[in-house]
Amino acid sequence: MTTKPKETLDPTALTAWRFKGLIWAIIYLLIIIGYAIATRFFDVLPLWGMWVLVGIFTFLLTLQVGIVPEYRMRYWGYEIREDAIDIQSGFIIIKRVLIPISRVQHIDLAAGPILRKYRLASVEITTAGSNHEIPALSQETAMSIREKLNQKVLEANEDV
Amino acid sequence: MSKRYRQHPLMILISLLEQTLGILSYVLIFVLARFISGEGEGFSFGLSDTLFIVVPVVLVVLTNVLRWIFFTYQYDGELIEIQSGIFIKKERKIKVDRIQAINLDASLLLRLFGLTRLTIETAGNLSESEVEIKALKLKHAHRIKDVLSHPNTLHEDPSESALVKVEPFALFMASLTSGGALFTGIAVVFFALQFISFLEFNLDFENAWQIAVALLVLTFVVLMLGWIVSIVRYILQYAMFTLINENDELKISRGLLHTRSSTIALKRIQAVHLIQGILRQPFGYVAIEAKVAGGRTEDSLASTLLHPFIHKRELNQFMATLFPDYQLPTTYISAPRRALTRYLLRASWLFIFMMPFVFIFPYLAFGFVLWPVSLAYGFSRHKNAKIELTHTQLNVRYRLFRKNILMIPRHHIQAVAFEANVLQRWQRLAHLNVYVLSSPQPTEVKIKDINVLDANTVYDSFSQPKGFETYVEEGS
Repeated sequence: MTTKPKETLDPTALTAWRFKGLIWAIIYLLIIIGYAIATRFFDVLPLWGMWVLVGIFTFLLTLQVGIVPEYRMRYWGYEIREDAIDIQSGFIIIKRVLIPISRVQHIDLAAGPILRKYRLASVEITTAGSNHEIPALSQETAMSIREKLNQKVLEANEDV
Repeated sequence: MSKRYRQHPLMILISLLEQTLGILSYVLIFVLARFISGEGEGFSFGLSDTLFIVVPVVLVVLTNVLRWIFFTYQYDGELIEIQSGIFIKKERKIKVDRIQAINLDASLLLRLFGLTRLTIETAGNLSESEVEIKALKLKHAHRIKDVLSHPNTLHEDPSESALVKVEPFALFMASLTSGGALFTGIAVVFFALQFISFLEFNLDFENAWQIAVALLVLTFVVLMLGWIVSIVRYILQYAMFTLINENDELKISRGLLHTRSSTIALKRIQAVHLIQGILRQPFGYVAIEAKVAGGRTEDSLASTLLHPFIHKRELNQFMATLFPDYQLPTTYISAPRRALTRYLLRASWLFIFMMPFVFIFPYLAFGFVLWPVSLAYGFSRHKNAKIELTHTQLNVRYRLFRKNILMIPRHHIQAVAFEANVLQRWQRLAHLNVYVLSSPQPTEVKIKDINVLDANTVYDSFSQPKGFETYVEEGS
């Protein structure tokens, strides 16, 4: 890949992702507690299973809260060029997409409850043949991108 | 506006006939059930039994008749209007300028009576925007087609030229070498093997060799049968293939028993696809398909084939006549040598995965015979992974099983992407993906493991302002 596209995702996204990790932590805890209770009723389930779960979940949590968000920030990039949108993502498999603005069919803004809490949104770009996403931008940025793209789409040639 | 028309009344009979299979099996099941429950004492049909059979059948007939009564259409040079529905009435108006294609096709049954089916495609793949008139007189269908497609025709002389007519001999050669032959053969073998386990062999085999020979002979016979079946099918489907260019609309028709004809506006064509099946490659014959935007799922298969069987020598002329703006590929950038291991590895995954299972199912070992075949394919795929980027087009060549060349004008590319995982980055390789609109589904072509530098060149070329537009080089 040549130079990485210059824009990055919103730094608040880090907090949002970590928060999401926290939610997952609570879910994991509930599962572990549930399992512990289940061992009371079903003698088949071994107690060490609980510790295995604890181990797995701690591992997952460290990933989700500590490592993944940073990497994601580092490896997501986008750039809105004159005629095309350039998006790069991924860290094990790096994927880079170039989308001509004249091919864009419509642009959506989406946000789940966690993103909304942090005033973030993801921009979903749909062309006639594919869907692309820029996750976790601040709502203002997302809306301004959408405005800018809509402008460009109107100006662009009307081909399919 | 024309007067209101109904579909041809024979349609009721014909659609009943087509549903006969369903009706008959229902009756049969019912009779059998009664027979079994009667414990073989002979069946007597009481009143309730007769009702069980008769009532549904009558209902089916009635529904068909009502559907026929409540389906009407009118048309003129500006739009076509359809009214349908027994209880829920639906009215659909389609303006002529929304019409992308008008297709006429007819099953054998319809043709017997001189009727045809007319379908209208509009932009978008929704079933909402399609129109189907199931049965009408052929002349009438043509009249509708003319009125709707050339509403402002004064006395234009259409520049008709039958570009493609396939000679019977060529058709035969095509049928012999079609991919269908291969698949049908394999499918028939597969089914035959299922049945073999049910048969009891009374023959006395003295040693394993006789069994092997018998199996080989059987496989051979079955494959031959399969081949013959697919030859016949191919001939039935593609006989009388003609392609006419009429005012920048391509009219294609083919078929012996069930004729299909379709119209494609030239400007809807997104890309041209050349296909060479493995059986045809040695002889240098190619099939040409178009990637077309918009259109229905069902008829799309019929309407994208531009030429079933053309020799490479004639390709230049064909392309020059129909697609003067397209350039056939000249020089390619290929996947580099170091990518070969990855291709061979991809060809081997299945077998590597199967290895531990051989201990459980020893017969799987026979499957390993296919590994060299798979490797050969992998090798060929590597050899055939190529791209060519010009000012006007992106040409990609790739092999999955057949050899494909896809020529895409730059302004029809929906998106360009490339991806690389850690290993690939270390080897300086990347996959290149190209997206093109087509029906029924959009096309995504992946050229795997090309040189990262080439991928970057392609990417940069499109990243420029107006990168996705066809441009003319200065000074030409």
